[in-house]
Amino acid sequence: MTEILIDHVVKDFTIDRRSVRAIDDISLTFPSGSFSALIGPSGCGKSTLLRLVADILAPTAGTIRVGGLPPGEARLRHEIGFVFQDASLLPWRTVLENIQLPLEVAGGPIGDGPRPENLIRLVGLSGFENAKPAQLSGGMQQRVSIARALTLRPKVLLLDEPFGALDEITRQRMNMELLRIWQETGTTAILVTHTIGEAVFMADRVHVLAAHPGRLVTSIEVDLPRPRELAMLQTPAFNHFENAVRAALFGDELKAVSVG
Amino acid sequence: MADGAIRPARRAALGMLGGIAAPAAIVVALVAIWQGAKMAGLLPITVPAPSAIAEAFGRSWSDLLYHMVPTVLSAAAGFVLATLIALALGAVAVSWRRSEATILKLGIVVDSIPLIALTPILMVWLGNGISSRVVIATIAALFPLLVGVVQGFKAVDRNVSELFHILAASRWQRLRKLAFPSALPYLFSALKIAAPLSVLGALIAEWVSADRGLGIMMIYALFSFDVPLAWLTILAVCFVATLAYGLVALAERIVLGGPQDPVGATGGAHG
Repeated sequence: MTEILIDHVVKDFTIDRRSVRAIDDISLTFPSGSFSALIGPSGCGKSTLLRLVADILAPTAGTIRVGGLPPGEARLRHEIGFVFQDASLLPWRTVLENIQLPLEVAGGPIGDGPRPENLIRLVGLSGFENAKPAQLSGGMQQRVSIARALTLRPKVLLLDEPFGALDEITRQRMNMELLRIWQETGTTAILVTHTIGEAVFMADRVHVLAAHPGRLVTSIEVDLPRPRELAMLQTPAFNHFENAVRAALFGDELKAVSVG
Repeated sequence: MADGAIRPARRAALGMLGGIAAPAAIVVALVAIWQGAKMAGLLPITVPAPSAIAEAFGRSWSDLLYHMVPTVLSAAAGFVLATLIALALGAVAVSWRRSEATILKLGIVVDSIPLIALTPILMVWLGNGISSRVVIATIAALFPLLVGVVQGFKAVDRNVSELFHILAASRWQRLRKLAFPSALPYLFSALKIAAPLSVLGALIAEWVSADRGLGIMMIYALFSFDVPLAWLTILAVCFVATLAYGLVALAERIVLGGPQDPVGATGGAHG
């Protein structure tokens, strides 16, 4: 189905005529229908990696396949949904009009794509169809953005720190809802985050990256049962996975602190 | 609750009345002082009494209207033409990034030619019909519009731009659904600067050569040393330019400001 393959990918940026390596030889597989998290310090290239999969950027070397296709082709087939860190809505459009935007650009629904009205219900915004983004809270705006990303029934959902700007409580609620939406739509999801708990709570597999240049440290399987529930946050199993991610992120630094 | 609903409305009405009344009172006071100063013999012969200007208006208001029509027409045509050209050039500038610097530089060059020097040359080229006056009004208004449009088109949010890329939007869709609506606030700011400029352009063109128009009426009045009539034409030009600005400001409120307040009120009902 829609497996995402990243094979020996390198990405260099040119900054002030100097070449800077943002991603250094990363190979990853995101199984079809799975939920994966990318975590790492800033500068580890996690957002860049997401933009390579979405064909916003092109890799310097290596290959990427989205359901067997090059990202450019998957993009043209509207198989990629993207949620940005800020909701990035068009302020002059209502909630409904923002969600309809992909339909207008693509010239109609792709296959049996969901109706915008149903998407509004899916993200819990019924009654706000005609509100303008400025009238919504940050969490509600991000719900609109998620609905918009799902409008063309993408096979891949790329989430670039979607709840990074929200408060802890709202973020936890949104995460629960995102998991529900992901399970209902059956997409292959990749979540970029810098919150350890969020990565563990959401993902089947957490890929830990290091910075300068961006490279893969390790991948941690999170075999907590689904559906994930808030009560799991307090279990030793959850803690175990959190510690594993933390150990991968901080390495030897962590040992020195724990001695003191 | 009904009281609460009426109060802001009444306050708004009073505020609007105050907004008109205060400047009106100042104008009336200034005119009265002006009249008094003239009657006391404090002002030179080149400054007529307000009553003399009013008298000139009574005597030649039909002349004034007759001359105002072509000025308004060429200014309006120039304004519209300048807007269309600025939108087209702006669209080219943002769709092909490399052309932006060239287009803006050309705009600067055209803008830096003194209009008063360019006008006679254009008159020679294009004849002294309305077309040359429209061209000059267009040139007068073009540069601020061009800068506003290019800036506005570039004021697109980076993430939204990436979204349009992911959606595989065409250049035209990007322009129509993203760049143009993003540019509207910038465009209106530029339109408000450009509207009086196009009136100025039409006026300069009429000074140089025209058989009808506020510009030529002004020149006639000056040559025949009809000081009150010269002042009347100046006031008429002020009126036309202010009206042009006011119409653009009104359009801006309808397009940008209009929908926001009423929707805000209904949005509150949802919460």
